[in-house]
Amino acid sequence: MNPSTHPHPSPPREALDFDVLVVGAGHAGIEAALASARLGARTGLISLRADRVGEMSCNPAIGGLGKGQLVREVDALGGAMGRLADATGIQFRMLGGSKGAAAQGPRCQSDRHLYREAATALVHGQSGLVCIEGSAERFLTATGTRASRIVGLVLADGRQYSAKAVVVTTGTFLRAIMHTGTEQKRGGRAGEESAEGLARDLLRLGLRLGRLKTGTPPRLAQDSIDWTGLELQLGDEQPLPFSFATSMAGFPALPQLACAVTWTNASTHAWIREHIHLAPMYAGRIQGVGPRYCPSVEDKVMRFADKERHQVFLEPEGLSTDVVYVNGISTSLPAPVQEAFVRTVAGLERARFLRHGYAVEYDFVLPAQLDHTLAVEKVAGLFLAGQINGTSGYEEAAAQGLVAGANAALWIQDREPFVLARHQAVIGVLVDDLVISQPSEPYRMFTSRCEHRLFLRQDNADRRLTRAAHALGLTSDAALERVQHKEARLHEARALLSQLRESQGLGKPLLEVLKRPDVHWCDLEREHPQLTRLGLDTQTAQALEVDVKYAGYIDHELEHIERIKRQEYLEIPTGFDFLSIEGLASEARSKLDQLRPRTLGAAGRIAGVRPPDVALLAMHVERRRRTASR
Amino acid sequence: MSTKPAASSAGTGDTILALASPAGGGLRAILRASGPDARSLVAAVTDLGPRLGNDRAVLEGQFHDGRGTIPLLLLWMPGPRSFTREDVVEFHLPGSVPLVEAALDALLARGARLAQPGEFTRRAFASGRIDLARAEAVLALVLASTKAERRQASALLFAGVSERVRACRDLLEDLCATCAASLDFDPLDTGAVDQAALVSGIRGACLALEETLSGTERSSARAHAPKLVLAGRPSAGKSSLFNALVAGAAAGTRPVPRALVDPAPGTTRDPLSAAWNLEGLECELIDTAGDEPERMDLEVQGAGHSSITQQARVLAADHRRSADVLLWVVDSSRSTAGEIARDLPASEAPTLVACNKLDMNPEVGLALAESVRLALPHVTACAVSAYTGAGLDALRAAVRAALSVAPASQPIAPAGSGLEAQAAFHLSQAHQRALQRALERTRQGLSQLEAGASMDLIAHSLRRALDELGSLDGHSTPEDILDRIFARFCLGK
Repeated sequence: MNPSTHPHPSPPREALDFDVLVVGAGHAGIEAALASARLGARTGLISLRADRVGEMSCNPAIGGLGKGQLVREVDALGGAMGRLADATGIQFRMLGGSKGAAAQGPRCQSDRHLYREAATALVHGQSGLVCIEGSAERFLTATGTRASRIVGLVLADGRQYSAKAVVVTTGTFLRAIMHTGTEQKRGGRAGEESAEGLARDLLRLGLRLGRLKTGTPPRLAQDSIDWTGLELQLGDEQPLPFSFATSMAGFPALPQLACAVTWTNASTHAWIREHIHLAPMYAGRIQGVGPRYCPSVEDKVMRFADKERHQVFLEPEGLSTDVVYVNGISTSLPAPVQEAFVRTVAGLERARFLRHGYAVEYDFVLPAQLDHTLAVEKVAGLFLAGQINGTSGYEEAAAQGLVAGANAALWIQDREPFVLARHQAVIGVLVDDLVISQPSEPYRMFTSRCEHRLFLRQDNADRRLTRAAHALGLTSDAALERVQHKEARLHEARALLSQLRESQGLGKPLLEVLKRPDVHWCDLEREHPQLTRLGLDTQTAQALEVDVKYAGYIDHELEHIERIKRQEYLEIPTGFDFLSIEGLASEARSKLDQLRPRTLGAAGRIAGVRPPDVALLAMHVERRRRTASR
Repeated sequence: MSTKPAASSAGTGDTILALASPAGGGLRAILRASGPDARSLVAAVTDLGPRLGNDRAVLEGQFHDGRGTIPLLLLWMPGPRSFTREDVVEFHLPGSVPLVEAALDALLARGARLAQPGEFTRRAFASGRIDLARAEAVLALVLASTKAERRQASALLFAGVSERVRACRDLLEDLCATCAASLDFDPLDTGAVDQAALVSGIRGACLALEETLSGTERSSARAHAPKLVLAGRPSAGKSSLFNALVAGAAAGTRPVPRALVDPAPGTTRDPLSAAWNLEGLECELIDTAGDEPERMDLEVQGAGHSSITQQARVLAADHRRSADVLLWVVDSSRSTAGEIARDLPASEAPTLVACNKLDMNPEVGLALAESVRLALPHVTACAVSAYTGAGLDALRAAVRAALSVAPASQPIAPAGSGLEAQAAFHLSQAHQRALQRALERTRQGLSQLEAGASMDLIAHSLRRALDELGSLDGHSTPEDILDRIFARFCLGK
């Protein structure tokens, strides 16, 4: 990627009519706008500041366990996140490496500033995409025969744009309140406004909202930290890129940095316990529910009182910045308390605060009101993606943005919707979980949410998704050629492996040998020069190894998928009256009516809906379909 | 998804299979299949393929289970004139459990899949063959697992099993949480997985599953075994006969009295039951309390005794009603054919009269048996002596014969009380298979762990094991697993 080749065109004055308008230029908004534009829709991207595209509001890192797979999938579908991360990463690590191929998730530390610049350049350079600076205030709607329909947007300054579809990706900005101790400020991110008008308007359109909480840790000045004696965390010696398009030559593009690990201690905990009544969560000032997987340091200390210390990661935010992100101690205690307890931590004794930690409380739209294209069911033309749907994380947001943006474009073009199934992509699991969920904490992807985890790996995202994406027009011809080439290489290598035998041609075929857990491609290459001549790159060799080692399980898994498909994907007609079914357990009945699953599989995954309820439901659905088809 | 657009069938694609006879170890077992492959199944596992036409047929032939042949009676009901409107076939086989299992496996191997509870009914409903009210009535029974009244049906069969299934689920969920914690979180948070603890955890789960499985097998085998109920007036010698029959089955061993024997009438209060192997047929033999005439209560002191007697009598009556064969025991030295005709309870089950105590006066005993046969042409009478064992062989043969006329076949659209038996049986089938698969998956996890396989593979096996239990009492969701992780570990940056 070369941002400098893209000029930043200012929007032409006559650009008032759009096919798709995207509100918000965070990680969801970027992917939504790019996907929509790639599919040929005239797209506008509205953000408060045109130069703040792809801001990392929380930690400056992309990927991780469960999330790295999402980034690889977004990339395989033509999305931007992987390429942006590759171009701006300052430390790359493959997490979960020892736990098996299905556990692996790539992660990188990013230069926050460069990431934002690269993202800005990318959206400004996308043809068919216009960036608009402003604050979306209100939807323009027309009342159709059945439901409201979106026809455009009005900005706070009165500008009006017409659009056939709108994708809202306002993150944590809906009626957002930031808390630091007893202090409360409006805004979804330090130094920025909250979006009040849109929240009101979503309510006007009849959407049900919920409230969630998330938090950030303090940011410290790099030169105020005593790095000597701290345990360093380095990147992988042979880092691998996120994007299937990134060439290994010249990767990583930036100098690589180390992070450091330090620990809280008894006196840190004492400070926190002593002042816990000043924490907004504990003082009852925050109603929103925070994530259990990312608890505040207050929660860690109070809930796990027997734990003597908690780790603290010191993550530089970039190459040319003094800011260090203090990962692991998200807090909303008052500023003086934060300073006091942070300075009890080894290495941070003289820490200078560049920004204090804070908690953000914000509205989200209960995602059961969405369908699998992330369209709001009751408002035609309205799509939602990202944290507004009750999720957490840049990666989850990007994945949704891509789904929503692509589907908004497909919808106005009157084309088939683009829906990924649970066995096709982690993104499919994400969306499918989301549309029947009632998040009580921000939804984060974990690989254990994916029942077909063995199949949904980071190494095969391209082989799983790129073909379909190309058929839609989401990816380039080059991407398709890449995956075809990779498959051809894999085929070649397999053929060779089944010909060659170990121990001078007397032993087992190498294909069998590679199945052993402790045998790797590079081991075979050393013994068999024929294999070296294939010249497989690291990623292809890795894919081959996984293919061979997991073959038995994958075959089993595919069979299993085939078996469950019929029930799993039996569609429940829209507007199906769950309440009319006699004999459902009452919990199941109300959950079904509330969450309105679209498939039998989804119905079965709702907590409180048991197999007999699903069987009964199946019967009614089948009957309904049969009468309808007659 | 390949849905065949077959005009006459329900178009559901696959062919489902279930054991449709209520008695697992009975004389006859019925395997019923419905779906587009019914015809090819017949062709694959029997010699009757060429004889299937487009009309209903009853055919005799041979079933090939891969190891040998089994005599077969085949009912062919081509769609749409069948219960499900699909092609339906019933394989009637000799009711030995291993034979039926082999046949079931042979059919499953040919592409049939085990029907889910209520699935035949669902297909019948989907094809418009039966109406909603009827289908719901059937399903309410078949899908016994949520509501209290439905639970009762299976509670009888699986007393204690659901508790044990819950315990297995608990162990597996915990193991899954351990794996998920290691896969989904930073090892700095969750610590390294304690290999030894994981091994012993998986071993524990295997053990729990094995125990649950053997419990289910026992209870289901007993529940499906034909019931032979001993009844009669007090002191007719029912318990002696019970002991003689049970002991006689275990040839070569010294008879150990099982029932308390005492000449005083009314010694037996609680029905006593025992497994009884009748020439290879697994039966359940039940000894009931003597059916005393009302006046005898008056002679007994104490109200407490009277109420116990009352309870025992009610229980005995229940057993008589559920009997597959009723064995009415009389004291041949003190009974007349007229009395027997008067006392004999009305029963739908085949009834045998055992004229006991032949040893006291053989001539009287034999004469009584003869006059009972004359007076009551529908009953079989045998003269026996529980004491000497005389006539017991003839009695066994008579029981065997009586069982063979007992209705083993169920109508294809069962109605009334037969459904409960079918529902319960269906459940037991599903339970056992699910538990078996869960056990296999858990063992697979163990061998993977021991072979040094990576954590994602071990986690996969354990997760699938947990999924298998889902068909018994609801699925564990990823949230359940995550809840456990968050309760156990302090996580997150």
